[in-house]
Amino acid sequence: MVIEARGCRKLYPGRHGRDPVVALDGIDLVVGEGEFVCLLGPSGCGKTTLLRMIAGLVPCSSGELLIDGRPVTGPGRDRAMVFQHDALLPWRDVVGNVAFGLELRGVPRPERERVAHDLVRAVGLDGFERSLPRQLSGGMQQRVGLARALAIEPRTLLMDEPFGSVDTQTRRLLQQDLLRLQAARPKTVVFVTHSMDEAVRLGDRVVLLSPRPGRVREVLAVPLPRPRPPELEKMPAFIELKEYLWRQLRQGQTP
Amino acid sequence: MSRAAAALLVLALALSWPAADAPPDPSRVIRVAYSSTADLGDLPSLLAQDRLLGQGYHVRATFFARAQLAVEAVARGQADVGMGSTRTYWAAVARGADLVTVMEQVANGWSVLATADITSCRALDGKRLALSSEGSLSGALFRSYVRTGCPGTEPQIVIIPGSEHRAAALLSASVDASPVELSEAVRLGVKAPGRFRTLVDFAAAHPRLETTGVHVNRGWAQGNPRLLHAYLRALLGVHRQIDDDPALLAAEARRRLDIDAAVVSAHLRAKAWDANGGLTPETVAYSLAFFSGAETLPPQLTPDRVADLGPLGRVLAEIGRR
Amino acid sequence: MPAADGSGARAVRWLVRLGSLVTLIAAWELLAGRAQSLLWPRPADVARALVRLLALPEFHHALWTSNQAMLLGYLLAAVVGVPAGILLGAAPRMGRVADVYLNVLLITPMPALAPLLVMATGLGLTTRVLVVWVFAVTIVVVATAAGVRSADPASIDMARAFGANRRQLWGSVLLPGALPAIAGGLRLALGRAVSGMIAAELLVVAVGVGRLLLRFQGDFDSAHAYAVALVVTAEGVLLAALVGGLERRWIPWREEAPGW
Repeated sequence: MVIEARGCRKLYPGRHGRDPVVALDGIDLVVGEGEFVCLLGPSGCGKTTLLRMIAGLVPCSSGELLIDGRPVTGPGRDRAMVFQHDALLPWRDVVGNVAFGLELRGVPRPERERVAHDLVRAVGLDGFERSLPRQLSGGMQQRVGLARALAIEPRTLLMDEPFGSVDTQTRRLLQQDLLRLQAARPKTVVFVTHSMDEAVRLGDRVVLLSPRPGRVREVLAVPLPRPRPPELEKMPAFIELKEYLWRQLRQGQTP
Repeated sequence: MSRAAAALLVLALALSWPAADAPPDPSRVIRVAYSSTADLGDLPSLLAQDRLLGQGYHVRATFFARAQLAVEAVARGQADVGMGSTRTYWAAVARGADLVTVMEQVANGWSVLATADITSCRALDGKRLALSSEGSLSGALFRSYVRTGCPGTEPQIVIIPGSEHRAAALLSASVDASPVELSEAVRLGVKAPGRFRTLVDFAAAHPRLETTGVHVNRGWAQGNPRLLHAYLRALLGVHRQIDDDPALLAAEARRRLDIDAAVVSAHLRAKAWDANGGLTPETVAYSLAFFSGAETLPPQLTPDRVADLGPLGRVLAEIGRR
Repeated sequence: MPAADGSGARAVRWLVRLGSLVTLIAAWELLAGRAQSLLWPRPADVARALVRLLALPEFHHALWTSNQAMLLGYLLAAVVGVPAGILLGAAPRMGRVADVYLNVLLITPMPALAPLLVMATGLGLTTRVLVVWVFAVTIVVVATAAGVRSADPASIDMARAFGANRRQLWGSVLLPGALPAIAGGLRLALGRAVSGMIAAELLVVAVGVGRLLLRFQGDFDSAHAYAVALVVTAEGVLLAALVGGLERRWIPWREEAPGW
């Protein structure tokens, strides 16, 4: 699935007669079929807004956002979102949550249960099928969120800092699982993060966004092999790219 | 402003300034508890208050929301005199309250009103009858009426607290009959002429029944005989004044309580306020027998526990009987 | 994280409850004994009266008669209040208009309201049911509306992202999300319904328990009057505990313990 943004802007009305706030100031971007693209930037740069626009939750104020050449008009079965936190339905168990998207589409129960069970296993939550979200750790909840997105077999995964609210160790494991799943069933992935480490670790390309108003400052290719080797942290290319991104980000901060 | 005018202004202010009320001498204060807002039966005692003030006695009247609260106040000594239902006060005596009745307030003015189509006691069978409570005075009166007049008749008892609600129930035809006091009977006759008939006049059937009275805290009565004497004397004086000058009562009733003439004249015709205080050994004995017979008071109550005729007797000795 | 209560903590809670109850009764015995009031009985007398009362079939019959109004009024309050609350929660502008009427119902003292009801619906069961209904429905409506309004925006976002239409949004996110608040409202309304049951009998027509209460009050039999009040209060507490238990079973995802 090819995602294309052409001069997409997002304005929010100003409060009390002040000037409107420009969240995104003309985004030009192309995400190719099967690409893993990381949107990287400081807080407030609009990366989450852009992601939600691709998801169809929020429209462009001006400019265009196209998917396979057609403008985005709303959410669709071809895109699935994974949220940072607080998006599991607390009254449904793990299977119930994973099957949620399928249920909304009217998939009959036996089939959605089967798909949900498969995915629960795939994300490593064997045995927790009947657990309620409040009985799960943060990392486990994120796995459920991921499984839920994968359940509807989208062509694109839109991930909004999905590993941002867990500890480093858990994040590593989740990143590895994501890469594993991506390798098995490749999809287009747009991944929002504020961690350079994560962006380089996961992405094929990194889109660097400037602070508000958000603009595409730079798009970099990640010259690292797939699958990512275990000695990733020691590879010079990895270190260099991280350093570069760090310098760029710091530069962006100083007014 | 000229000095003369200023002086006049100061003088006028000084004269018109309300005299600062010096706190009354506690040995000349009488606290009276009423069982609800003032009605016509209470008017003589309110007039007596004025008399007493002229004699240097201060009466503090409190109108309680419910009878039980007034009784409790007198029993605890927070009030000295209580005006209200004799049966209720005697029920408290049966529970050990330190109270005693010294005079009658209003003579028995109860009757049973029924819709005009009910012509006899027996016709009440199956009809809806409103009572304030089974143990109340009106309940006892009604039960004795059925027992003597048409035993075996069983109306449908509907318990409705509050005499105004019972009157409303009669008017809206939610019930067919109800015992009512004289004031209510008159008002219903005025509001709905011809709709109701008096099935039985309890004043005629039980003239010696004490329904409302003047009750006092025993301890206070023993410790303040002069105060009690003054109070009863003033009250009896008003009763006699009403006999001599009925127009006075009508005027005061209209002015103080907004009660119309029909109700007043009914009370006067019925001689509601006895010129000799109404309470006698015969009435006490009769009332006790009546209440215990109706199972609304325990049988162990004796006349000396519930009534003390001494104070009234002393007042009558002083001012003579009529 | 799992929120399991150790049995040790539970035992301590019960011990505290028992201890405070005993202290309360002891203080009551002391003060009532000293006060010697007609209207305030001593605990021992109330206990005796309670035993006598519970053995009386007439009392149980009276309880049933009174509770007919309570049950009907409560059910009606639930049936009317929950949909009304959902409507108000969904339409905030309508909510502001309805707020006024709700406040009137909530604040107007029943002694003022009751005569109007009697004029409209007479002295029978209907009026008593309506009194109970007035007592209970406001809580149900307010709690339900609050539950709907407090829906988690993240869940709504998520459901929309997965393509939920309006009907699906209501059925799978908004209503289930409001369920804890609705259940809480229904539980509180039960206590109000029991109060309404007694109020109806003291203000409209005394049939069951209220009739007994008036009899005891008229005789200054405060021990029996308190015993009656105790039974009615206990009924309210037990029913609320019952609903609380059902809540815990059917709404296990609640964060706060439904203790009140």
